[in-house]
Amino acid sequence: MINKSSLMACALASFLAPALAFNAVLPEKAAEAPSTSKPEAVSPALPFELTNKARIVSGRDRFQSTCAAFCHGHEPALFIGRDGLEPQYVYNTIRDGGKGATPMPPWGEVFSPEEIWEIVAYLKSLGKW
Amino acid sequence: MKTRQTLISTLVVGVLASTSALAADAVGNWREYNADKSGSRFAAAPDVTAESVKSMKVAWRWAMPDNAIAADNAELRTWVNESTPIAVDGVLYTTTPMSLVSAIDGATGKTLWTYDPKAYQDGTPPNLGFINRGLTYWEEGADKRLILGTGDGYLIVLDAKTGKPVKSWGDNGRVDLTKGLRRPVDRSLVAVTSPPIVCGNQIIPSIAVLDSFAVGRQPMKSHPPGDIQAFDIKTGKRAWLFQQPPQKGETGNETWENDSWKTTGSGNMWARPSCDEELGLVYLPFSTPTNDFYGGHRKGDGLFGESLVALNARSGKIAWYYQIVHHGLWDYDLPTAPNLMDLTVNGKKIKAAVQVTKQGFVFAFDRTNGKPVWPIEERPVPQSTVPGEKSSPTQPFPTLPAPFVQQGVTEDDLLDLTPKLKDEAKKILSRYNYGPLYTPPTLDKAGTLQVPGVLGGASWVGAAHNPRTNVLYVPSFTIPFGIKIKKENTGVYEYTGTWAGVGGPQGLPLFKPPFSTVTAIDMNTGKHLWRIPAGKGPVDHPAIKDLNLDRVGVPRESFVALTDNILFLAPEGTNSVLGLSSRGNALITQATADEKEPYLYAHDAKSGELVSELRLPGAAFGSLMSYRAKGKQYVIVPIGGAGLPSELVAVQVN
Repeated sequence: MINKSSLMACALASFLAPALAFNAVLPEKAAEAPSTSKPEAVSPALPFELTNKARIVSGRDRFQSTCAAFCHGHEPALFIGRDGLEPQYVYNTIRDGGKGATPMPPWGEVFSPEEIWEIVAYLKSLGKW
Repeated sequence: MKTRQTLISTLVVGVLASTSALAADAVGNWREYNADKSGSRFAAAPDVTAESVKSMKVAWRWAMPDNAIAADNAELRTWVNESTPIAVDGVLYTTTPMSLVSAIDGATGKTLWTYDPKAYQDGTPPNLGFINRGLTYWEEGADKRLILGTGDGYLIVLDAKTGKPVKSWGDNGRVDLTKGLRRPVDRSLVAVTSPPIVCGNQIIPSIAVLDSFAVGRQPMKSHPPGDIQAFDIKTGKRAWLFQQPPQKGETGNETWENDSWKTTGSGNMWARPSCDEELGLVYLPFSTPTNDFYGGHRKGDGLFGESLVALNARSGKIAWYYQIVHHGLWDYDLPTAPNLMDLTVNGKKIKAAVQVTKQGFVFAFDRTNGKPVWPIEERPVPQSTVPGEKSSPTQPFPTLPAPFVQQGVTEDDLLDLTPKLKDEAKKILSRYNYGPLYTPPTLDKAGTLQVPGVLGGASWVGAAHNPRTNVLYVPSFTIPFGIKIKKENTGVYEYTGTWAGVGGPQGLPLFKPPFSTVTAIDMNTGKHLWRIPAGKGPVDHPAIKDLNLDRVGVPRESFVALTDNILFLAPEGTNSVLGLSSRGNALITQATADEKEPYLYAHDAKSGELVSELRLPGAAFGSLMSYRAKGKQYVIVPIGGAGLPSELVAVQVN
C-alpha cells in the first residue's frame, strides 16, 4: 500500500533527478549547429537584464501560450531547478527549434529577438543558471 | 394486450438477446479492454445509482511492478500509466507500461501472479516510450488464455491461470510481429500499445509505428508499413496479412500515385479494432501515412489511410471500407475502435458501426455493408499552398449527427471572458494561419492553427455507449496545435512538419469554454441530447476567478466508463516533456505530482448532471473500467507513471 508521503517523496526525487539519462529537449548538437533561419543573428546583445521582473512575466505568458500546452507543460519540469544552461544557447534553440534532433519548431520567424529573450529570462528564473 | 408480467419477460428476453449478441457482460465482468468487442465501455450494474455513488470510496490501491524495475535505471522511465485491466470472474488481468502482466484478486487487490516478458530490455519503444494499454482474454472450455502485445513488438499468449507462456503457441508462446513483412522492420520503430482483438479464431494485433514528426526525426524512405497480421488463437500460425498501403493488384493500390505505395509507411492501426462475431467481421481504424503533414511524395487519396476497414476475420478479405480523410495532412488518425450499435433509425433496424474522430465527427455506417446511416457529403475544403503538395479538393462531412466539438477557427471562437483576455488571444491568433476545418499546414508564420488538434476532438479515449438505450457518450476537448511545415535540405522528404500545442492568454486556453465536454447523442435519431463540461477546469485562475464560473471543463481529455445509471468521468492528469529517449525514438515526460484536479466524477447518465465526486490519490492517465467482485462494483482508475509510481486505484461505487 502506498501512502501519500511516500508518493510525494518519490515525486520529489524524480523532480530532483535531472533528465539526463536521455537527451533533453535542448541537445548539444542543436545548440552548436549553425543557425539556418537567421545566420546573421549569431550573438545579439542582451536587450535587457534577464532578471527584469516585467520581462520574466511577459516571457512566462509567451511560454504558456506557445511552449506549455502538451509539450513543456505549465510547470516545466525540464527547467525547474535546472543548472548549467547558457542564455545564448537557450535563445538559439528557441529561435531555430530542434533542427531534426527534437520535434521543437523554430520560433525565429514568429517572435522578435526581444520576445525570445523574454522567454529566456523566464526559463532562467526557474533554474539555477 | 400484454400483461405487465409478459411485458417484463419480453423486455428481459430482449435485453438478454441484445447483450449476448454484442455487448455488456451481465455477470460483472469487463471482459475486453473496451468492456466488450463492440467497444461500449458499458458495465451492466443497475445498483450503481446516484445515491450509491455519494459514498464512493477508494477500496484498494495496487502498485505496479514497473516501479521497482525502473527505480534503478532512469532509462526505464515510463510514459504516464495508461494500463487498464480487464476483469473475468472476479480476477483482474492488467498490463503495465513496461509490458508486464499481473493477475489481481478483484476483491482485495492482492497480486496472484506476475509475468515479465522483459520487453524493456530492448530499449524504449517508439513515440511515447513505455506504454501498454491492456491485454485480451480468450477461453474455450477449460483453456483460458491471455494475449499480450509488447513494447518490443511481440505477441505473447499466456495461460490465464498460471501466467506462463503457452509453449505450444507460436514459437514457445510468442510470435515476432516484425518478421514476415514485405521489408525488414527496425524493432525500435514499432510497438504494440493497444490490446489485440480476438475475432473468431484469429488474433488481430494493433501495431504502433514511429510517428516521425512526434520526435522531430525525418521519416525513412521506406518507413515500416501499416500491415495487419492475423494469427490463429490455438496455434499462433499466421492466418493472413492485410497490406497497408495495398500492393500491386490489390484494392486501393490505384489511389497511390507514382508508385508511392512501394515506400510509404505508417498508415497503421495503433488503436484497437472492434469485432462482430455473428457477422465474422473485424473493423479496423487506420491512421495517417508518412509523413503526417506533407504528402507531396504520396499524391492521391492514399487508401487505407484514415479509413475504417471491415475485413472478414477468417480470410482477411475486404468486406467494405470508408475513407474518412482523403490524402491526410493533419494526423487525423482514426483514434479508437468504432462503437458497434444495433440502432433503430426511422423504424428500421440497422447494425451500425459508429466511428468518432479526432476532427469531431461521428460517422455512422451500416456495419454489414458500409452504407452510411445518414448521408455523408463530399464538400470542398481549403487547398494547400506548400510547393509540391496536392491536397484533396473535398473531404467527407456527415450530415448527422452534428459535430461534437469546435471545428476550424474564427476570431469569434477566441476566449472572451474579459476584454483583456480577448485582446491577448487575438495577439496569439495573429501568429498563425487559420481557417475552417481541413485548412492545410503552412510554411509561414507559426504554421496553421489546427482545430481540433492532432490529439482530438475525440481521442484514443474513445466513446461509450449503452446498448439498451443507444445513447453514445463522446468525451472531447479543444487543444489547438500549430503545424508548421519546414523545408528540408537533407533527408528523404522535401518538406516535413513540426508541431506545438497552442495555449491562450496567461496560461488559459485560447478558445471559449467549455474547454472539454462530454456529448450525449441519441444514435437512433442522430440528435444531441446534452453536452456538459468534462471536469471543473481552471475556474480559479486569477484572471477569471471573479467571474464565479461554474464548470468549464479541463483543457485536456477525460476518460469514461458507463453503467446503467451513472457515467463515470476522470479528467486526464498533466505532464511536461523532458526530452527524447537515448535512442531518439520517443518522448520522455514528467507527470505532475501536485495535480490540480485528480477527481473521479459521477454523472447521471440520463441528464448529465453531476451527482458525486471523489478526490483520487492521483489523476487518471488511462481508460476507466468497471467490474464486480463479491457483490461489490468497482471502477478502476490507472494513475501515475512518468516519474510517479504507476498504480491502479479501485473505487467502490455501489
